[in-house]
Amino acid sequence: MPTTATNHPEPIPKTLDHLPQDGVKLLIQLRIRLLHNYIRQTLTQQPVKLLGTASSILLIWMGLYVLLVETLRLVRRPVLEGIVATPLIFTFFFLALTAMLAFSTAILSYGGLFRRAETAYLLASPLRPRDLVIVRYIESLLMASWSLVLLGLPLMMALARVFQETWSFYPLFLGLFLCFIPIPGAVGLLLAWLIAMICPKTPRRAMILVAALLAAGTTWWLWRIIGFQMTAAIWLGDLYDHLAIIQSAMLPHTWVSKGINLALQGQTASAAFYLFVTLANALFVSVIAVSIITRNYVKAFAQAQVSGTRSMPRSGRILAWIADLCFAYLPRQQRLLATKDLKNFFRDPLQWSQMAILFGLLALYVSNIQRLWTDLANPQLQVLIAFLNLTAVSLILATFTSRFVFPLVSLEGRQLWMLGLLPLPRSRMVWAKFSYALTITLMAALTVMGVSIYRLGIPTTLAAVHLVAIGAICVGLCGVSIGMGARMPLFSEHNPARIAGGFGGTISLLISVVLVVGSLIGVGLMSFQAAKADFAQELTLSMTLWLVTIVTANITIAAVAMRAGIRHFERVET
Amino acid sequence: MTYAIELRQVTKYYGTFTAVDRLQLEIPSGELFAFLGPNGAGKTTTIKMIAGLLLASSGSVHVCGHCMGRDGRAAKAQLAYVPDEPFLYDKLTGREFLQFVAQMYGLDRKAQKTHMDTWVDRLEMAPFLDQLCESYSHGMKQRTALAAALLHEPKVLVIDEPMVGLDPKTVRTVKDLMKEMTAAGQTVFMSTHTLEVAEAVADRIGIIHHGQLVAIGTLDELREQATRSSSLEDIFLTLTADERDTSAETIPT
Repeated sequence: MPTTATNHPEPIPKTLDHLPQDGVKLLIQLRIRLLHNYIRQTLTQQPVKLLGTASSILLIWMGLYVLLVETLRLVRRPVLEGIVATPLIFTFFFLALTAMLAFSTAILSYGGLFRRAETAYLLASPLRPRDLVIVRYIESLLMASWSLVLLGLPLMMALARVFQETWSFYPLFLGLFLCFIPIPGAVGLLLAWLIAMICPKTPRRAMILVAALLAAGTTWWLWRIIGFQMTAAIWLGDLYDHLAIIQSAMLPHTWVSKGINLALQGQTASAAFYLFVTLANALFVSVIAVSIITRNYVKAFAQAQVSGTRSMPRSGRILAWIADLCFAYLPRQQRLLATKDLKNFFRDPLQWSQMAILFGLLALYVSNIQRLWTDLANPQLQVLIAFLNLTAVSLILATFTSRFVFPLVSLEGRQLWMLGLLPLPRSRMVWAKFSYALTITLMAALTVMGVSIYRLGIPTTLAAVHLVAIGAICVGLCGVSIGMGARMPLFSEHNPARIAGGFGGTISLLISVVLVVGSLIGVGLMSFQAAKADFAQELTLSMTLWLVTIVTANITIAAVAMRAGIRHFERVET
Repeated sequence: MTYAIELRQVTKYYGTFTAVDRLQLEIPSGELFAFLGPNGAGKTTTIKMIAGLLLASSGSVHVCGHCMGRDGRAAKAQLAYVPDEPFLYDKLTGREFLQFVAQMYGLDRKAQKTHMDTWVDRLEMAPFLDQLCESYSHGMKQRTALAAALLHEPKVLVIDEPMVGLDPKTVRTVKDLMKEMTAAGQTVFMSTHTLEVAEAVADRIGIIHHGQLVAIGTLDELREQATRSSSLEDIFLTLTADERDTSAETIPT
């Protein structure tokens, strides 16, 4: 007779005393075990990925270190301005960090506390809700801040190098940096809980609204303090009056920036005071946030389960009409695929809002160029600014295509079995995605560049060069992203951010950046030659050759990437 | 009398929509209760309230005498919940997962080993126990989730769609397991669409429709209620027929 579970000599006690009292320790041990298994698996199956990641981090560190050393030296060179500017740089840096960390932690906390399948599993167990909240909070802090901590290390070393500090600077800097993180983190945790309690049906829209309001408020405040009509002395005084608000002694980012400044000046005891103030407040707000959430956690979790139950509007007619307009040049089947992708994009607020923020800020900047620069009549300044605008747009495009375009093929993984049954070759699916991505990026990039060129009033020839260049860069970037996405798909992952952040996404981003930098070097040389030719309307032979080279290079790289991607995608099995 | 599961006039609203409407249910120890209903009837909402994942808008849920709202931890210590899509940690092996669950329920090392060995043998998990869960098929995941749920000998097992994706041999194993549990005094609350399984193993059957319990009893009692001597499928379709749904009327007796 087989053994049954009920034939054990010692029944298992069911009292609360026998349950683990330290659920936090248990969950942290679990996390360590998960991380250990993940690293061991990656070392066995994808050692190159780990090596690539470590090498990339090292390269970024070194590049950042050099950049920071040079920037700090530049700021210090004029001694008086250096004394004034250095603390301001830290103030603004940590103020920006406060907003970023609060928002990141809010998003991560919301997902971790209210949306993950693991959370439901653990809540159904006798683990204390408090333990779960604590562990999720720590996880959110780590995930929101690990990249900032990594970037903080080259900053610390650059500061030590430029200001030639003693050994005490290092622990003080690290301590201040690390103790600061839980303060905006606790704010983010509370924000996540509030969203679950108040607007569970539309958590994403709520967070985007909060971020948009914050960004709008900041932009308005910055616009107010940049007065262009005042004299320099009055403007400086006015600026300091406005900045007094954000340098208040009650704000955490002020303690950190003051602490670092004091550490830089060798005032160890004073810096340590600010360290302990930051630490005490970090612990205090963390305890308060965790306590508030724990008391209402089960209720908030239950509320958050209704999220996503809103019925989508039946008519995707507007989106379909827009898609018919934008993709009219495509054959019907590919147009339908592009329409599907467009609907997916606009029905995910996290996706389109990021694009809106990126290009919206850029559009805001270029439409107000004439207010920002005082001497736009100077043709050389015009060309320089036009080139810088092109650089900004190109780099944003590189980021955009890596983040949103690269995952497009991988996201078809779940329904590939269905798409595979359609009377449509896989190659045409890939081309449909390329066309979709190219249409969107061209529309955005040409609009922004067009406004920039119009506002700057640069010569027609150079304007045409810039527009052709950005068009070629769009082709190159979309080709690389779609091609690499088809060559290195990640069908097991459904989160676009994770797909983009994987090994293939990273390689795609690196290639995109190299492509953009190479193209910009060509445009830069053309602009230089145009300036030397006193901005004559005709294209010189040299400029023509550069332009042809840029266009050819982008098309060729796009073609190679697409070919490699299509060949792989046609053979892949899911 | 202390029931294993007791729902006292439980109601759950989602905005203006009533998912569960004044549900009154008492399930004694040692019973295998099958909970049936069409899609959207309120089965999953009811199960989640029993498991403590949702709070009732009104009424109360009790597990082994403990109120889930006020005394949740004590109630959950008596309970095991296996959802329709079992949750496993992708980067843990089956063995590591079972060890974690054992620790979560306060089993000491000796009890951990004994109970794990029993369930690994019983559910034939040895061939894949030391592989990462991400490589498991649905059947393997279901068996691992079941082993994890039964490790601490819960007094109440709440299980949603236990047979989906299982091969016939494993289906038989799970059916036998549930019968042994109830014979030993443990309670099983099972939600399923597989009416044959409910017919074969359930002591009592409850049918929910539009959030309300429209029928409850043994199979014979339900037959009397439906005034037909027919299969559970016929009874179910008759009791859950909407006004505009004529398909139940065309099923031959």
